[in-house]
Amino acid sequence: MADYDGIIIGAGPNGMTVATYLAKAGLKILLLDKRYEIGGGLATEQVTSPGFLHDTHAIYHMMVEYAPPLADLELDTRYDLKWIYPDLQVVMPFSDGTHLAMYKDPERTCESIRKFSEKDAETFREFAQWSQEAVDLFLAPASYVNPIPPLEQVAKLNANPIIRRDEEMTGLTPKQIVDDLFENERVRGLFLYLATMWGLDYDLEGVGFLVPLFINRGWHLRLCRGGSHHVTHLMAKNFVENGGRILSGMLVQNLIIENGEVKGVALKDGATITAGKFVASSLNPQQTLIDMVGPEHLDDYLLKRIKNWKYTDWSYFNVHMALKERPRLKIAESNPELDNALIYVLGYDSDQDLIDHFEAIKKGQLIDSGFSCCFPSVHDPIRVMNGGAVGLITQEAPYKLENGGAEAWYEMRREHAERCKNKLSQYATNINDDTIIWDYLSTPLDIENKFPNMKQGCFKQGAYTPLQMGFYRPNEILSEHSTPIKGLYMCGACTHSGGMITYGPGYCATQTIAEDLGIEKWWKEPEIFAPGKAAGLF
Amino acid sequence: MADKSYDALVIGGGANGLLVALYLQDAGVQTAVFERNMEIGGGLCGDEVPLPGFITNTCATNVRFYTTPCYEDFNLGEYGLKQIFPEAGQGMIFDDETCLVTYPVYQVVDHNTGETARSSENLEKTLKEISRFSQRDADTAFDLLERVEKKWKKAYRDYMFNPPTPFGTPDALEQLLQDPESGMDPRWEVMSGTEMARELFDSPEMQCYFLRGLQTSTGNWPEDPLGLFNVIHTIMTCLNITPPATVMGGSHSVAHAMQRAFVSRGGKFFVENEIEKILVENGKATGVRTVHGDEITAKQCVVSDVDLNQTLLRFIGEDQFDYNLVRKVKNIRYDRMCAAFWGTFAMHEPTEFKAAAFNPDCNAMPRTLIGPKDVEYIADRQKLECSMYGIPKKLCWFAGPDSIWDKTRVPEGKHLVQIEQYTGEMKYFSEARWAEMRREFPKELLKQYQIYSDNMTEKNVIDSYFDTCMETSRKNINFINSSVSVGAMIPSQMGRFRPIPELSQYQTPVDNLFLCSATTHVGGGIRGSCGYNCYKIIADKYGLKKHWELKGRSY
Repeated sequence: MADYDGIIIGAGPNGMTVATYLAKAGLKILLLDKRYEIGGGLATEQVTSPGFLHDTHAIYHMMVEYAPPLADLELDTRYDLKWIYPDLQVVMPFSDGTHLAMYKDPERTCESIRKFSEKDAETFREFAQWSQEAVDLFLAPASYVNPIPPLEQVAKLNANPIIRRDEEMTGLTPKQIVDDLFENERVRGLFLYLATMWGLDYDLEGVGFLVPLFINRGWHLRLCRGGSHHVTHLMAKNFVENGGRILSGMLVQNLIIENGEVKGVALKDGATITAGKFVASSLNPQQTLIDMVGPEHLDDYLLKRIKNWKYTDWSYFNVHMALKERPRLKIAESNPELDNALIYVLGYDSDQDLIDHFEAIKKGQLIDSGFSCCFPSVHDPIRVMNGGAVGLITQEAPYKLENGGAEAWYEMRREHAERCKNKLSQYATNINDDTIIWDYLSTPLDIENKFPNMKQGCFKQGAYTPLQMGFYRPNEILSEHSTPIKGLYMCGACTHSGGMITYGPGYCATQTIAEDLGIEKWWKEPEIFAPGKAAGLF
Repeated sequence: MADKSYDALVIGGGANGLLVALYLQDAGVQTAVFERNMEIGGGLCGDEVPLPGFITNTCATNVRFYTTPCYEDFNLGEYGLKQIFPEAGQGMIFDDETCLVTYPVYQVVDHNTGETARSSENLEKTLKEISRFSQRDADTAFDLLERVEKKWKKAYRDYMFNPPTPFGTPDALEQLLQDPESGMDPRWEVMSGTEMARELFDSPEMQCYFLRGLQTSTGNWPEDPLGLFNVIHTIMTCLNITPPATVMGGSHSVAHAMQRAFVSRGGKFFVENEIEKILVENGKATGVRTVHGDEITAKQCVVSDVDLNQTLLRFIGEDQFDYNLVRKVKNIRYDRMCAAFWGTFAMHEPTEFKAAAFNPDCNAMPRTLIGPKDVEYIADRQKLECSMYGIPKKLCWFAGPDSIWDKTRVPEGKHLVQIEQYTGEMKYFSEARWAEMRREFPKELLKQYQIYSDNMTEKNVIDSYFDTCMETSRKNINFINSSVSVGAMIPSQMGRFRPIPELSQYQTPVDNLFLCSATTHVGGGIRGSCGYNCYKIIADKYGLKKHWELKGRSY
């Protein structure tokens, strides 16, 4: 008899989703993680000074209204999960003292845009309304169902005028889409930032269909009360209460495969654990299929596809700060509300400034450029137990530096952090060496060190490119989360529907596993599919 | 709070709170743990500092959890607790490029039960190393080992894992004093660390080693009287009779394992739920109120894993107790095991000591003590300078190169070393001065590393992270004055005097309110005894499952 019915490797949001659904379905599940603390990117840590809680990876939750696991697992009803949804979502201050503001309420955003362009304000009003319909109808729920082959998919989508408009953007770059929409360079700067902040290249063709979703999510961003890691706590409670077992600090050597079927895992310390029904991996394709399964079990075509899997060349450089006091922004002197934005995007006076930054990244250069920043304790005071504030600078940055590659980050990190902090001081003068108690730096290399599945710091486990999205994520053979190895499934961000803590890959993989094993689903079909189903989109 | 009523409520999710909760839940008592911080574990904490990919034990390190009954009773290995037992032991690197290396005289032979067996090969090696400085000290070490094996070891465990005996009944260690065959000199009960070092050893090397060793092992200064428990404990750690261990993934993994064992038995825990009141009716504890205003009923008992100032004075009220008791509670000393710089260097390469030419094994000692070969300095002047300057002129520190054995705590090919350096008490310096010292200390330490090593350079060090006693006390507010043992472990506060005689039986004047924090016998150090002994008292009172009787243990 096997030790467990199912073993899940990697206890991030997706691995935990699979684990919790299936444990609740009555399966005996083991969840393994390499790290001492589970949760993957749902990490909240006291890395500067005790009493200051920092979200060290995922901070903004973009799919809270849609993600079925959040409701199915009763995280906010049975447990104490609370989302914080600030009215003022994104503010972009400019060097001349003006600013653009994006609110929860698109009407208020229009008013802010109107100061720069009447036409852009009207365009945004229409865009906001259309994008919301498109997100509700298809773009959001599509994250929670396995993709179908592109030809079939496109035919369905083109039949619906609302979704067709999104589909028609596919061949355009984020820059082209933003340029087509807006005339003012500052308005373009804001929207190009929102379109690319989740890791899209500004000049990449073929994934333009994502741009309306990303821009729309720009005014739907939540913080998790107490930090993102609290979601992990609650999923883990639900999992363990349903008989699940979690083991952290576990290094998997390889999967045990007999006659083309997975039978369990072998750990680096020599121990083996057997699985009677399945093994699911939330790691990246190379780790799962090359390192743990082994090339000898794969055919040449699949092996080639996996070897060609691409990671992003850029990720984030972060400066986490413990502060003596909350920041006071210069722009808020005349309008105190502006001190309460969730995100500030600083240092870009136009879309060209942002493009210059991206071009420098392509060359591996660290330039004195803009970034986004956030002060979560302003919205969630329990993140500072002894007063003060926490802050976070997030800057798009290359994984490999021009001189010295990724390892050069160890030399460059401190100097570059000082440059970023100085820039922040220009916009919030009370943030300076006297008020910054301690800082904590994280480079793209550090992201890879923290989470080896995020190779090159790629927090989506693989770039969003036309051949790595939808039905092709990670490739057409693996896109339904099953693999050529019987009983082996993939459920990480490298599978549909990608990264950014949507719980989509975990949810979709759960459906596949449940159907393959003939498990009676205790969960119902989510209501989010109703409008799309009525429109014939699913 | 989904359910507002439980059989037992535990205030504080530290090592002892989790331990008592686990035993209670295992006995069928529906238990809920309430933790003020966002993460359970208390001193069993880990943080990914100084930078991502590096995991530092920011409080307890070198936890030897395999020595606790809890480890065996719940097979915590099954819940993911993995201990690593390095080949080398504790030792000291001196400023003249010599070193004292000792090897685990006992080795863990059964990882599930923590059972140890004597290694004659390691004993030979240890004695040979000591004899390089003094044959007489090597003979003494052998003699002490015999005494430990004969009587002390059993007495030590019986003492730790049983509640203190009443006044007039000798406890397991006091029985040694009455036993002429025990080899325990009655004067040792009242001698200071410095007196003990001179009493036991001749060579300055062994004296320095014992003196610095006792600081990390007991939190006391060399001038302090140690008491029998600390004397035996220091001898056992210095001679590696209890082999050093480190927890795979960091000390916080112990908390995870206990939490999983607890929750899988039906236990509940709630983080970010600070308690502000213990509800008392007719002299009985009936529940708690959280700072959020939730009231939770305890059908059977409330157990406090926090300090007495909070438990009695804050949660219940000074006016509810006899003034003599209140005064004694207020007078508890928190001035030992309270002042250290704790932190980590993240590095490209592990430290290579100049003393490796003397014995190459010194580069890989899990408990490396580093300091001048200067008995007078360590015994006396060190404390004076710590109190005057915060950062003493000659640093004398503990270094734990854990990444040599635990690769899960560093990125591939990188290293870290955990550091402990004693300093002055919190009150001697302003908050602003501590903030300055937090930045100055790593620079000074790196400078002094040059005396002992050639590769501890700025180029090799990627980054550092250090807490001062300000940060340590903020992390866990029950660490009053930053005392991580929640009260000094000095003879007047040990055994049946801990924390004060009236409260030494883990009970309070309030019926059904129990104490399990490190403020109770046997004190701090993640020894797994306070919570265990507290459960023994609770089990007696309510007739619960007695794990020790089922296993036929004397403790």
